[in-house]
Amino acid sequence: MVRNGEWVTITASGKTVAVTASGKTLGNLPGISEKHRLSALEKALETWEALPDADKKPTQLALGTPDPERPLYQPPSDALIVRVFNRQFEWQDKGKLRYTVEEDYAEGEGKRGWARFRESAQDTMWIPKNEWTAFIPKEPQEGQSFSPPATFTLRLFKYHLDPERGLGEGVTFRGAKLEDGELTLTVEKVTPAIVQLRLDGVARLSQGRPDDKQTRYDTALLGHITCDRKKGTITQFDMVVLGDVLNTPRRVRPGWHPLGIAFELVTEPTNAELVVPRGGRDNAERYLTMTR
Amino acid sequence: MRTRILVAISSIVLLASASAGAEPKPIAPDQFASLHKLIKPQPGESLFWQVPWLLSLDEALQKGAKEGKPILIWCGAGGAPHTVC
Repeated sequence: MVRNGEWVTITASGKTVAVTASGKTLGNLPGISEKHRLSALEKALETWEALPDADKKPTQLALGTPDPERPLYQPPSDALIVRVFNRQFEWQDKGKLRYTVEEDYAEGEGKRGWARFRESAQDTMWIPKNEWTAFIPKEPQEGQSFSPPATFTLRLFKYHLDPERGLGEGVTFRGAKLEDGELTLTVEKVTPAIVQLRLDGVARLSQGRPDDKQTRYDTALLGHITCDRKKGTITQFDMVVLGDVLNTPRRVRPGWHPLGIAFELVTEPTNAELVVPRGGRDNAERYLTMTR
Repeated sequence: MRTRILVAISSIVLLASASAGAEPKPIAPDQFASLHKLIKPQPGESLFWQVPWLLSLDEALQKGAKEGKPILIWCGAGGAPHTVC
């Protein structure tokens, strides 16, 4: 339950804090660096160890009042939860990809954060039932092709092909439109048990006016979707996106650089995988139903 | 050392280059699996996903009180503690 509390301070980029169940702050854990965070965590634990048992195992809790403005928001019933992984790469000789290294990043925020930026950034995507059921034709025929639902395509373009994931809270292509790409679903295999589809296409996304600071992502997509016909469920939603970003946000990598994004269906979500996707953070209903 | 290992892993892979700014080059079906794996977290990365997080602060307070453990709260933009940055 989300509540207002005097010992939880919100910033736009997140915050970690250690507290007791009785409500005492043990320490704020700055995100400046791993070294700072570990040091602060050790001090918080020292503070914890020095507390009396009454604070460590309180018998009465002040749970406060739930904030009706900020309810715990769960994925809609029967929605697919898909993990999304973004990773920056660099091209090396002969067109091969390699992971990034410190030298690939610009001075300033790029150099300061490179160790974090080189790892995959992560998010989740929700695909509501009305969309994933539309992936499967009522009478599927191998070779049949069609467009996915517009709401799916818009959500994908606006929020899940985002080169800013892992860098900051921004949404680079919030203004993306359907005509910024083409996606096609093709039925590849039909049996009494399953339907397999391929999802492929391209997206050409851009932010702002075309100047030397504009961010673009020109990318190809390839996905595989499998439907269990007897259960009426999706058992596979895997997709790969690969293309080049011009001017990675926050100026951490000026110029063109490859960005790969992988999608993977979650079948048994953990608590962390139930968290609202970045795109739905401010308005989950709109995230699920957008038409433009 | 870690950097060298990861670069070595990546070098066994892929892929015909897309020219920067040109029409995106289709992803070859036979490279799908290796590319998917290459993008996802590698061993030692993204360890925070292994933490058994709770989404309910009230539940965490009750569990912490019962077990005599401190609580680590990670909150993000848009509301505490249940949202992402």
